[in-house]
Amino acid sequence: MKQTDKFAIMLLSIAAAIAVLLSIMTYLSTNSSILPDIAGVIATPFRSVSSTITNTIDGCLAYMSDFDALKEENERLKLQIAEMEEEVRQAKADSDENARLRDLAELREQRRDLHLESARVLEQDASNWSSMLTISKGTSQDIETGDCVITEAGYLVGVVTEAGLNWATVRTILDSSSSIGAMIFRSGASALAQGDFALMSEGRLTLSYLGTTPDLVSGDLVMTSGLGGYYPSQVVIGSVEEVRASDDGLDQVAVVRPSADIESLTQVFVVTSFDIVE
Amino acid sequence: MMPKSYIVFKWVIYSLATLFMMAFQALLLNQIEIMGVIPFLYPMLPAVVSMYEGGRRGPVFSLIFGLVCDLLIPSPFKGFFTIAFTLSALLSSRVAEDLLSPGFLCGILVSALSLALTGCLRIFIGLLSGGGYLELMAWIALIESLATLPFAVIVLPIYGTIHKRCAVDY
Repeated sequence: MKQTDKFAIMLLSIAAAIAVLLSIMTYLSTNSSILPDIAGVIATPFRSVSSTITNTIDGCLAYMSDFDALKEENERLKLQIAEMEEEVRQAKADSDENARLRDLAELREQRRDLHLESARVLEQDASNWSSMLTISKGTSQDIETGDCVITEAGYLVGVVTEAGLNWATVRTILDSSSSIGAMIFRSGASALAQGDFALMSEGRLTLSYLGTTPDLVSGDLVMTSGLGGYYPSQVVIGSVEEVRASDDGLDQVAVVRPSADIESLTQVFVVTSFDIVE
Repeated sequence: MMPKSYIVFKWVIYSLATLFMMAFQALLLNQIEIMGVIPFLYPMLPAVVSMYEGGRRGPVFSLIFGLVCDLLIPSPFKGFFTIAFTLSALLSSRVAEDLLSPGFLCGILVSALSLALTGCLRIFIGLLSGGGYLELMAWIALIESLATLPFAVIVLPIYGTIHKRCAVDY
């Protein structure tokens, strides 16, 4: 065997050993193994600077190009606020009625208490293959793997997959390996909200395990089911955009538009713990 | 023969150039989309270094760079970039030794090969993990490679200059 071939085999063996070692370390550690943690801590200031620079540039460009659009949007938002105020009044009446009905039926009222930790988005994974975020808080702020991440409006963003000392990686609900128990608000039917590789670039996800004749209409609100107690219940995921046959034709799947604008997030809130009071 | 300190200095310069390219990716390329995809420069860097430095040092540099990428950016599994970049570095050094002498043309070829190799490995892992969508993944890998390849005209002169300066001065 030639000397160069021997070297190549040796180097590839080392690479494979490193890959196995990293995978074992990741598997064994609860949040993040020591090497990624150290690398993340070192990279955090650079990510922060990079984020600041890109945000500043984006802000300047947006200011210059979007002035007319902003004026238009302002008018539209004013109308929307008026409509929403009307909806709030209606919701208040509905809520009162709901409370009365609950009392009548002696239903136990669930109260969910979310403990939140705010974090800045340091980096959006700009890859064509996954949808991840790096945020500015980590284990030193009690953030752990598996914690839910939401927006200020309470819309689901994703789940923490790795947490270092002062950073954490979030797999968004758009990522093809994301999978969260969901519930249709109107019908109460359970389903599974999953990321889909084909829909990821369009900013959509799918709702599967709906059965052959699902009770779904366009616009239906999709929330987390909270089944199993891993994630808080009733966190808004998004709304149904269309229902169509699955690839195998045996089932129906719904395309869901997330309520959170995942591509333009700058700040998120991590649900570090939650109580279900029944 | 180069003194040890000079060899260390050369690799420090290579590392700084790679850091610069990483900043270029983070600050500029991540903000743009070409043909609907974001160019991904990283696979090209170890391939170009290995083309110029060949033999042993290029692939070792690539292994370390792959490890750094695995620790910093999301990958299909921890160790993906370590394996992918080491493979593409070995391939590039072999191309530069046996097929074309190191230069612009060879640089374009090894860049294309390294992008294709990384894309193929991603597709393979995607299929193994039950992701499906072979055609879509192949399409994204192809477009990503095509969108990234023009940036070889920035990468090649930078690493070429480092290689030449270090060779000329000694």
